[in-house]
Amino acid sequence: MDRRKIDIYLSTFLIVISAIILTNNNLVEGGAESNLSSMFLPRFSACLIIIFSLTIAIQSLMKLARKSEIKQHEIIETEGLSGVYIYIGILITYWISMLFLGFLISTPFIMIAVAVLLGGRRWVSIISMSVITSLIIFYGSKFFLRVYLPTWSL
Amino acid sequence: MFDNIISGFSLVFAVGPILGIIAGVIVGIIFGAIPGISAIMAIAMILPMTFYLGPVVGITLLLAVYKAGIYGGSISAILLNTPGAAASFLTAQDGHALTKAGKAGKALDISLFSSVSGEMLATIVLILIAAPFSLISLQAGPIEKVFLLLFAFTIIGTMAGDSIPRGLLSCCLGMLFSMVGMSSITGASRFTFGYTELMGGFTFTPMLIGILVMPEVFNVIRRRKDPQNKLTITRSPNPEDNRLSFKEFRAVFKTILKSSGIGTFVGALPGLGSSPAAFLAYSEAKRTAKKPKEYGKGSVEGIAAAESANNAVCGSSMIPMLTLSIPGDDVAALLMGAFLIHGLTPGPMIFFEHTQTIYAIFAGFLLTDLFLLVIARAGFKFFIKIASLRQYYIFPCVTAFAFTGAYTTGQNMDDIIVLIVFTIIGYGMRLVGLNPAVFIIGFILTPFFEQNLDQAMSIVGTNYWQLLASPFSWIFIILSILAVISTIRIRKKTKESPKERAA
Amino acid sequence: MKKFNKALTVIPTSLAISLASSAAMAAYPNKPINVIVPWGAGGDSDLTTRIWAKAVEKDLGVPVVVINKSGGGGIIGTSYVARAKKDGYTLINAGLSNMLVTPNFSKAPYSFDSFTPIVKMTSVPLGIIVSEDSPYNTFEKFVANAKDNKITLGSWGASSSGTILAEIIAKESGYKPRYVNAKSSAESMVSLVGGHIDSAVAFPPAFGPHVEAGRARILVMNKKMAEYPNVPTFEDYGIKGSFEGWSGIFAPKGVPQEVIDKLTAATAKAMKDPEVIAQYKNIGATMDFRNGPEWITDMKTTYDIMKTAAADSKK
Repeated sequence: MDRRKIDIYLSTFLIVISAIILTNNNLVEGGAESNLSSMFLPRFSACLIIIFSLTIAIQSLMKLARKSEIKQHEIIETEGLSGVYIYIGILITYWISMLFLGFLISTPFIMIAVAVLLGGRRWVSIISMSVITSLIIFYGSKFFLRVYLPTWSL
Repeated sequence: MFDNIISGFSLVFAVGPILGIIAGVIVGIIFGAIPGISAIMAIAMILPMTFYLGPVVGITLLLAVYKAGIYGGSISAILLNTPGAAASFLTAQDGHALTKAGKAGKALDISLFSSVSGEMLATIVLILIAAPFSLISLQAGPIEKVFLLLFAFTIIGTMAGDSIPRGLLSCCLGMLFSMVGMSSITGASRFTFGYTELMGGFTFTPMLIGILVMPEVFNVIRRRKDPQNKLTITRSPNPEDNRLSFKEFRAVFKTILKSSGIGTFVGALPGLGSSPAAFLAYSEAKRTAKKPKEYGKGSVEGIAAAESANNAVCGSSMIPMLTLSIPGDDVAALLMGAFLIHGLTPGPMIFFEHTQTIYAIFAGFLLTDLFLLVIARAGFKFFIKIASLRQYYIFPCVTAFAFTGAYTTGQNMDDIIVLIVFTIIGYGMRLVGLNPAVFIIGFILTPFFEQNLDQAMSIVGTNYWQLLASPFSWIFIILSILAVISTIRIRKKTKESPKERAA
Repeated sequence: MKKFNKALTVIPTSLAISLASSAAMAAYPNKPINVIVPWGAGGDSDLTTRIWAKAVEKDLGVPVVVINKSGGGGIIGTSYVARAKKDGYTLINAGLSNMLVTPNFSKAPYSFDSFTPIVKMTSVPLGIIVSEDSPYNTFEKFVANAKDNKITLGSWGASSSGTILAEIIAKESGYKPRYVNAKSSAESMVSLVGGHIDSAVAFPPAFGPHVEAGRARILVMNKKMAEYPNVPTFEDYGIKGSFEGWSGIFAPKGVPQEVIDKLTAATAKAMKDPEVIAQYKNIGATMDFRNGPEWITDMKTTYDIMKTAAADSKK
């Protein structure tokens, strides 16, 4: 993927967002009066974001227009990104399962899933590692940190 | 004064304090080194237990956890590339590059030695000149702090990132994200879109883990089919690569001294914290380095600069806490709580009213550094062994720890959403060349900046020229301009040899 | 591996012990009680609550766990408890700002009426402080000079309890300062001592060390304190009202009476423990154990005063 194209999309997106921050008055609610208005700094940083996004976008546009040779750091590798999507899926599943099944039940399965994703095939050691680590975290935080991790709630 | 220090040492050399220090150092290293879990959690939980210990034991124990915890973060940063704080991001860059080259031992050595040197120097400053030092920081009122922060923003924004606009853009994005939630000045809710959950803003710890720790898991996943990357670390056969020679240490000693000085100064000004200190020291070291191109690609000097500044803050953040009773960061706030509970009210009188206890605690600080050196050094083999496990053992654990760490800060399931969202944002930022650590620093410093700007405006009232009346203001304005000029020059120098860059 | 096995056998046994011991207890409490502190760890409210938690734990026989849910000026933690189960296992550290002030300023999804007050633990009187070499060394001089935005007064946040109390005092005595809102009152005291601001409002934990070190002077405060016998009170100047910060324990509205009784009894007992008394004294708080309907009515009155004051100062 060509980073210069991404730069242009991203900068446009940021400039639109900043423009909304600069013009919309409904983004702030309530509050007392002070020397700085509540929206002063957000608008100030929105202005800066517009300036820097424009700089980046113009640089990239010029390079694209000149059809200059793409440099190494301007290429975004896409190889292996499918694994990342699976991992994000695992994270979201983890969040949902922790809500309903609790930490102690969901964690070993998630750990096994991540291990398999990373190419682990030694089932016995992976499973025992997952179970033992989950137990250590759960009871460790309960007794040493007094943090009670979520439990079964169905 | 010296007999105070000696009598302090005699109080600390007892079974109780020494056991406390050893326990604290071990707990701190473990909590600090686990990616996703931070030492502050441990400190908050140990605090009530210390109510029933004596002040010397209790406070040295807490402080040992703090120091060892800050240091411990660099272990996982170097071995696994999972920095637990923005300060360790720099260590991770250089340290992990060394690890990949099979020089993990060297990276760990330099980080430990410079951490301990930084801490020791700051502690000595604390012991010798805490009181006069605090007078300087009294002079820094809101107006001066505004300029100091502007200086920090410029230097950090310009030095990091692929290019200056990208660095500054990362910083501004951090600023914008930090303003979500309720304003601590006016009480207005900004960018909450009607969700009460957003009133508190983005919880810091889950965000930090998401931005800094988790993207490395993505990297590992992307490389999973590459046979060379099955093991997390490899070991160079050459023994020279696995330890730090005295010559190398001597070569970077000047950098350590200078960086510790920067760290001590930044730490003594409450509110800035260790991450800006590390960045300032790193950029200063890079500016004066003979080989600035090595920075970020496995520079021993770079690790030394970042780590000594980062750890010097631990010692010197005690200065405003003890002498002015303002804690510089959340850990200092907890430690101040411990002082209060034991009847040691921080303030200038503490040195006269509780002379013996205070000097015993100071002696404990120094002793902690020694124990940290010995215990951490002994643990290196163990850490390397753990980190040499196959990736499919390590990164499932990192995932579980990150979730636990995100949950435990506020015991709130919403924080896990914050973790997941910022993991994606953090990885995306790396892809497009934005700097995640600068984003974090922008996020940390902005509320502080807004608060001081608001106060400064109120103090000057309608006489705006008063903003420039303080010499501090001019010093920081000039420093900012100099920093920008020198960064541009370094970048030009680097550009002159594009071949090396590609290699 | 051997070590792991050992650890695994230790954990279930200790778990069994703790389960058995809690099952033997009476109906309430039979599991850990969570106290939410809506502020960060290490602050005044946090310490007050941690001391209380540790002290009542002995009497209640279950762990009393302090959890910091900070952010949003206390709104995050407080609204969490307002929504929590009314079984007495989730309590909140309540104080002037999160109960009586913030709901009037910010869009909080709770009000004072969402809670059942249980006990008040400590209180601290508000004072107006100037630096030692200030020309305004009495309250009269201060009032005379503080007209027309001429004097800066440090506080902590335009919507904070400090500023709103200061504003009430200012209105009563007819002056108008320029507020300088620091992050905390400790920081605003440093600005005062450093000569950056003219005066400040603060509570004893913040100003105490500076007054004792002879760098700051108390002009007036809410209540006489044994440490400062010569300082006049607001009442001496005819300013009426309660200008104090306090810390207490509340539960979500609708908890069983049994819970209230049990917690009140445990607190009453704990407040007599000399060790607890010493710990509160160390953190600079004055013990002020109160409970019951009279106390609640008092708070309700203060709440209404704050509501009016907030309406006045809102945009």
